[in-house]
Amino acid sequence: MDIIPQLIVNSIIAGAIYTLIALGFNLIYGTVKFFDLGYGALATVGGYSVFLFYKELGFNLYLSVLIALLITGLIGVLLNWCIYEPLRRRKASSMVLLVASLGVLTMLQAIIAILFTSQFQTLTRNSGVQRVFEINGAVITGTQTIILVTGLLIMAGLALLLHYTRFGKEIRAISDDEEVAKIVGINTSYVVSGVFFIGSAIAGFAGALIGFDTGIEPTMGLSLLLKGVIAAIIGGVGNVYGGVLGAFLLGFVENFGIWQISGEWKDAIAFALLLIFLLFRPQGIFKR
Amino acid sequence: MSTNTKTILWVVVLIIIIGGGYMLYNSNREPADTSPIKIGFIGPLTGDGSSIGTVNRVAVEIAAEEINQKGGVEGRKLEVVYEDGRCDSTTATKAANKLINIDKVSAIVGGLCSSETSAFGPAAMDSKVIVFSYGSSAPSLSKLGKYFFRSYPSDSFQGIFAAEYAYNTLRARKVAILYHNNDWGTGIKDVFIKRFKELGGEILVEEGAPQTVKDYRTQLAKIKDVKADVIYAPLYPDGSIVALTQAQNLGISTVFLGGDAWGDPKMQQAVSGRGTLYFVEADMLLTDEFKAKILARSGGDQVPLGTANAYDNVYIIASAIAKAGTDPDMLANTIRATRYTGISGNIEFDENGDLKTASYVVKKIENGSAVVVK
Repeated sequence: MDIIPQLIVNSIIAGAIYTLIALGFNLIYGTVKFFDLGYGALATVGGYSVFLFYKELGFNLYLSVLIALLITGLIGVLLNWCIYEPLRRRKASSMVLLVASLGVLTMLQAIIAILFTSQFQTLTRNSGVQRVFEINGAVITGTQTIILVTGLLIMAGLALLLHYTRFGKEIRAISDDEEVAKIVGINTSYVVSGVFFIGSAIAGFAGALIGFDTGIEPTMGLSLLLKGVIAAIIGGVGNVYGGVLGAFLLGFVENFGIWQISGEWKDAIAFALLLIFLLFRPQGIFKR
Repeated sequence: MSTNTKTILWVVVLIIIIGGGYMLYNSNREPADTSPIKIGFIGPLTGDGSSIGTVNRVAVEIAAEEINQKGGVEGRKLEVVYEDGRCDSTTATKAANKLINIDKVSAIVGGLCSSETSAFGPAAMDSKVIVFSYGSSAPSLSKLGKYFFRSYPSDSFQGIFAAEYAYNTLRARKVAILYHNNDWGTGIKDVFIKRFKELGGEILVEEGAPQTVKDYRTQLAKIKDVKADVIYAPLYPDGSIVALTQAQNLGISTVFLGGDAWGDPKMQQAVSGRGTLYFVEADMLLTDEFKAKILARSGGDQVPLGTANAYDNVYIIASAIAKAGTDPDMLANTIRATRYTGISGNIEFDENGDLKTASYVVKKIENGSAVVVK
């Protein structure tokens, strides 16, 4: 059997997962211009919210996911209010914000570990076999298809939001110049809260879907975030479409990279790609 | 400054010196023989492997209580300080540093995972603290030092056994390998490959992944492509749950042969039904009485690997301290000379602190549990 079809599908699956992470990350970065590492923890919060409502309390699947989106969105807004907004008002450097968000990541991770233990958990209720689709000898599961489709839908949705709504135009204005946006009468604090809500909810959604695909553990956020950030940087940080392209490029390079050599090289390849971009095309594929 | 103030100051200084000296003198004279003897425990109490580590802890608790009920060690109480090693090198090192420098233990029972023991072992050797592992099997640990012992067999035994089982019993001639890139995984697969090639078998692919990775799809696609007779998979439990699910999704129906890490009950429940899953585990002569004792407190339905060993380790350390005291060199020599028939089998050490012999069984994962394959 030729493994190329499966390699392509694997690359697409990985790319779709990175897309979900990169989308919200880029949205937040594009607006407030700092590396929000706490974003990784929100994916974890999303996964654990579904775990709590769906698996522990036995809620309906769609309802549980919806609650998870609300929880992560609200936590995102709350973190912005309590931590990032005051720091930004004080004109703290992006370094300070980065360190603060690292604190958020570590804190949320620790809280989740205390509440739910650091055991690796699966989200599916029955350990039965997942629905599997076969295309030309390559295999993709139902959950992975949902990750792919929703990733692209969210990208399209964000594009529509940014270009065709008043709210989106305000986001773009803040992203261009926050001071000027304020002067022309945009309620920047309200818009930034909205961005944090949407971005964090996307992270929560990503965490939930990844939880259904593989499983959840408190430390899952950081490794997801790292790959999402690589995708964002390759694609052009802050650029919503660039993030998607970067995610798929990363997925393909990672998976085809270990085609002829042994699998333990995967991470080395991913980070080498990041370094190549940082050295030779620091603005990424798409410049903002 | 008036003369009066000076006098008062001198008096205060004098009081402090005399008082301090008296307290120091007193603390030195405190009768040492009734204070408790402290030993440490390191194992995964949370995270990867914790469904094994928490039961191991129960065994240590029971052993210490039994010893103390019988009057302790030469009249002194045995006190165990438990620390979480999380099967992870950084956490285990922090735990060991605390045990060595703050609790000042004379011996550490642990760790379970080779990644724990190999990380904190060197520091413990420098501080002359006995490290007595109940589950670490990486062959590289044999070189740790004179204060290291383990009641769990080195993988140089397990890898050879697995290779022979794959070749002779499963009649495999071509094997693919999927392993975790850590002390345990690389150690065991190297031994396996060497022995399997000696027997005349062929290794088709060797695919590694870091222990924390949750995407094995491309490694598995390559393994599926080479059509092996058996997939040898020394993987830790959490990664195994993901890898075996992805293998099933990819339609891999090849027999998997895992390592002793698959003795994890939580993992067995999660992967049950995901294909034909065998694993190699050290053979233990667990008595029903011991099983009942452990399960009554742990609340589970299985006595996982390392449990009997951890129990035996406490008894061996206690009897060695009773004979030799807490001097590290005397203690190490006494433990090395030990011949003990415990719950985990016959314990006798070679010059590296390794067991002289080991026997294994093969188990099959089915119906959420594991049964011995005849």
